[in-house]
Amino acid sequence: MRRPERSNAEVAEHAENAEVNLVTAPRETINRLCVLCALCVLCVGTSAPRRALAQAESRVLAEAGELERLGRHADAAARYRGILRTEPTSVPALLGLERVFTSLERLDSLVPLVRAALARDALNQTIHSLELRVWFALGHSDSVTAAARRWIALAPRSPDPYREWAFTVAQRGDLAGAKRALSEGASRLGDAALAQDLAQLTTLAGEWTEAARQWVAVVRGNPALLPSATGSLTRAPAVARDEMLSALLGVRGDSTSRRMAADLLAGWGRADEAWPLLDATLPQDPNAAAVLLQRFAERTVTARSRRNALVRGYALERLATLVDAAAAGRVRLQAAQAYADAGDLAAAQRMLERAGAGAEAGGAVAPAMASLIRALAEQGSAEEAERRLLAWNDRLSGDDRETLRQAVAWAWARRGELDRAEAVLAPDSGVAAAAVRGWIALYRGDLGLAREQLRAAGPYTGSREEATRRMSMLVLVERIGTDRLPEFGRAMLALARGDTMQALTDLEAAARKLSLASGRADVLGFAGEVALARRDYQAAEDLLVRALAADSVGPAAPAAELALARVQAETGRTEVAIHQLEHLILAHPQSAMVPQARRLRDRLRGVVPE
Amino acid sequence: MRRRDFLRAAVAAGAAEAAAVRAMLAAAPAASPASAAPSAAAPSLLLPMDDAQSNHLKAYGVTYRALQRGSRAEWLLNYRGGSFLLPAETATERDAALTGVTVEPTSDGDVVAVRGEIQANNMDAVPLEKAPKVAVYVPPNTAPWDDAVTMSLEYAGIEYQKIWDPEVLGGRLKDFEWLHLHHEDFTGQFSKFYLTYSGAFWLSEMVERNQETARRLGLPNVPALKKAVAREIRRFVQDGGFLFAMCTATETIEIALAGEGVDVAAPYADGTSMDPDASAKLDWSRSFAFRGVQLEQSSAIASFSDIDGHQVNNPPKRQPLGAFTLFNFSAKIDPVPTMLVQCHRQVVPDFYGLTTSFQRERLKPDVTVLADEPGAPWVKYIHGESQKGTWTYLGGHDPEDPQHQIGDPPTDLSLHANSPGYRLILNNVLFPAAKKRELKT
Repeated sequence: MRRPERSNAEVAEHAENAEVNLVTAPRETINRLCVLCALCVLCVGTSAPRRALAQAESRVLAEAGELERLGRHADAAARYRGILRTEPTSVPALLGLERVFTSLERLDSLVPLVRAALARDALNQTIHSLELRVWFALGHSDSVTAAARRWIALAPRSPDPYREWAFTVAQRGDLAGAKRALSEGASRLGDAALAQDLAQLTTLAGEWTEAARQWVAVVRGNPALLPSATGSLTRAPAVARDEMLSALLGVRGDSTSRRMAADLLAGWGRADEAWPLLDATLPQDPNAAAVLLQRFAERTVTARSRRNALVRGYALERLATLVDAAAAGRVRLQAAQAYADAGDLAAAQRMLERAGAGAEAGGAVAPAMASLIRALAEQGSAEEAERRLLAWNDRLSGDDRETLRQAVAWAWARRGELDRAEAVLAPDSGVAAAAVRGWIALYRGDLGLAREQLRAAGPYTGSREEATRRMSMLVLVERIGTDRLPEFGRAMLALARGDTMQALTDLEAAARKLSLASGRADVLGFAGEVALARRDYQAAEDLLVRALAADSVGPAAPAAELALARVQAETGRTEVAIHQLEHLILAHPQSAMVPQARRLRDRLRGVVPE
Repeated sequence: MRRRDFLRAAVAAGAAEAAAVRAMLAAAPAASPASAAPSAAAPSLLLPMDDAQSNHLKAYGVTYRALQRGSRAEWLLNYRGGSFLLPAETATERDAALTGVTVEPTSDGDVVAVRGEIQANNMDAVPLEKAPKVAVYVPPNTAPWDDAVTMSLEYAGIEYQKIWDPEVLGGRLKDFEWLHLHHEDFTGQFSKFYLTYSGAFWLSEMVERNQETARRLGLPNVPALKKAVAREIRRFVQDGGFLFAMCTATETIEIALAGEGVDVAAPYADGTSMDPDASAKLDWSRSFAFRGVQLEQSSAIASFSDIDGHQVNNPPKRQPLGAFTLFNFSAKIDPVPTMLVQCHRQVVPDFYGLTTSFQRERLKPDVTVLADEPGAPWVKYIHGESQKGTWTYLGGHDPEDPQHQIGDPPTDLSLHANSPGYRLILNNVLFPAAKKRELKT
């Protein structure tokens, strides 16, 4: 069989051109039609033997693959070479030889076969890429360059040679070489041709500021790539971020770079800084603006701080003005939730009203209303929170009802309205409610009931911080040898309200009522820690010393000694603090305070960094 | 009650109690360091160094301070991870309690059993005579947090003194038994930091300080200064000193010693280009560990020579990290290398440094390899003798910060109290304390 001089691809291309010319130049119709027919006959005439050849090739490839899998690389190589004798441009065979020759450390044998393939199929991208890889693996960097230049000469307007050249050297760690290749391509083809490749390369190299500049160019050319760009740049380490932002924000009047800066800031949890940038550069086109606002809202959905929640509310409120009515309602509810999380109750209320969240509103509004009620309770508006809770009771989920009752109970309790707090909790019997009841009993000074309720709640409810606080209080209360101590209750309520001075006074009074055996030392020690927390070092030291005087060997003593050492350290008496810690460690070797004491001792002695 | 009334009342009520408490606290339960009475119940303390030990690093400190007090100690090579046997003195018990080091009271009968086990196995008991005087070669105003050795010495509570070029060239090395070098560049090229940190304040400050020191000591430039220091260090070792070096210091001191009279520094260091034939002119008979080394001629490449196997700052040649394996030696026949490899882990994760490892083919034939990465052409930890003294090199910057970058937060060793990598460093600190007769093997 006589093989056509051209490849089938070239033939098909020629045929396509002939067909186009047929449409546009009627005077040449017949000649061109004849050419087309002749070519089709040629294709059909040769297609049957070619199918048989292809099937045979597939069979041999499968055999070779199996031999590879069995580790018989030399045998596999023979199969691949067999294919190349009849089909020198067979890409699967060439790639197979690349694998097995690498295992056999005979990669240099592939070079003539690759060159022969390129002689027949000079524009084949895969074979050109293979040639680059082979030369690179053989350590012939000059040959890599020469091979790349040959490819460039054959396809001068194509970015592929530069791209593959860069990719090959980058994969082996030569990022500088890769950058040179891409830069050369950009200088010849224009910045846009390889902008994304350069951006990805500089990102990979950790050149974050340069990467930010590169990605701006990419996004300017194609705004839809903004998520890809910021997705790559978000991984930048914290130390690099300020410089990246300076580079982005230093370009005056460039809205693309500012939007990218805003998106990055949002991704880094700095939504409050991002919002002014985004707000100032939103596109005029409402659809485009809506896309950016929606993305900002999604990026900030896990916003932890109130400020971040607030700007999320702003973005959602703005978005609601750009979308259709049905979507606007949903968006306003999300805005209401965000505002409530941020503590801006007026804005939350405004959003709910505009969303149509009146008395008849349905369950879709419930999550937003739940956030609002929670915010009202946390801000101390117990009456308003309870009123809304009652109004929405049937429309809230069971979990929300329970947690909101606890929030409202806390709001009443902090105001000292303990009866109303208990009344709100009446329907609840779970451990979470027991925890709240335990604290309420504590505030009343009813230590017996407090012990019972806090024990029932255990560590099983609330956040880790809440559970730790609860269990610590239970330990303290269990050491106080009386069931009623109003002064202690007043102290705890004062603490809950943030009145530490009053709390210290009441704790002192409570301690005076206790005997040495009934927990005086524990209460004094606790008072000392309260004073330490508010940096009242003089009061803290006096209380802690008195606690140790009351009991220097009991279970409360190590905590008191540790707190005392902290006071001494904070007031610059480092040697005294070290001595105190050493006493704690040696006198109470089994205490759970000892590891903390050792660590503090190491820090004070300067043997570990601050 | 107003605040000041509260305070007055509290103070008045507590003053008497406070005085009593302070007196009680002053009478600490532990005895003073001067007290050294052994316990009758268990006359010895074993500091296990296997997984039973809660703080391996501070255990070296407890042993070192016992030696400082004049106590005896024994290093039980290969016994339970290289444990220490100390007399059961109150001061030692107090020290161990304060530092959280696990100790096991050991009766005479137990000690006999331990010695029997040592005798019957590849183990040995090496007496530790006295705490060595330790010097660390480091600029005077450097915090301890950027040097793995100073960090470990601080954490373990082992005293050391800092010395720098003026002290070395002033002959102060003879006051010490043990000298540590870390990431000093003895070729005088400032670790080639110009390539990546040009303009950084700390680099400018380092350059200025070194240039000023060279001027003050009458030397023409920093490479000349560092070569002079390298010569003194070699003399220190050959006169019987113990040298331990990590990171860049290992490679660059070798180049500086071999490069006597050869320009091995880039133009920014001494104003002249490196001798293009420098590699051929190096005299490796003057160095400790390496030979036949090819220097990196390009000042634009952040590498000194082909000694380093990993070439961390040379992207085309950079190698990934693996893990290195400590060799086993005969404790009775080769106590020195045995001491240096005592560890509760045989395989240790590797860690980068400006010099991470040492190409095997560059080692002199008399170098003892203490650890390597199996299958790799480089080794990690090496040791040798030079006349009366010894040297040990460990590649890498910080065993618990494998990819350390300048500006990274310092390593907090309280979080790595059982670090096998840091144990290798501290082995080198205690090794000079071993009785001299053991070192002649």
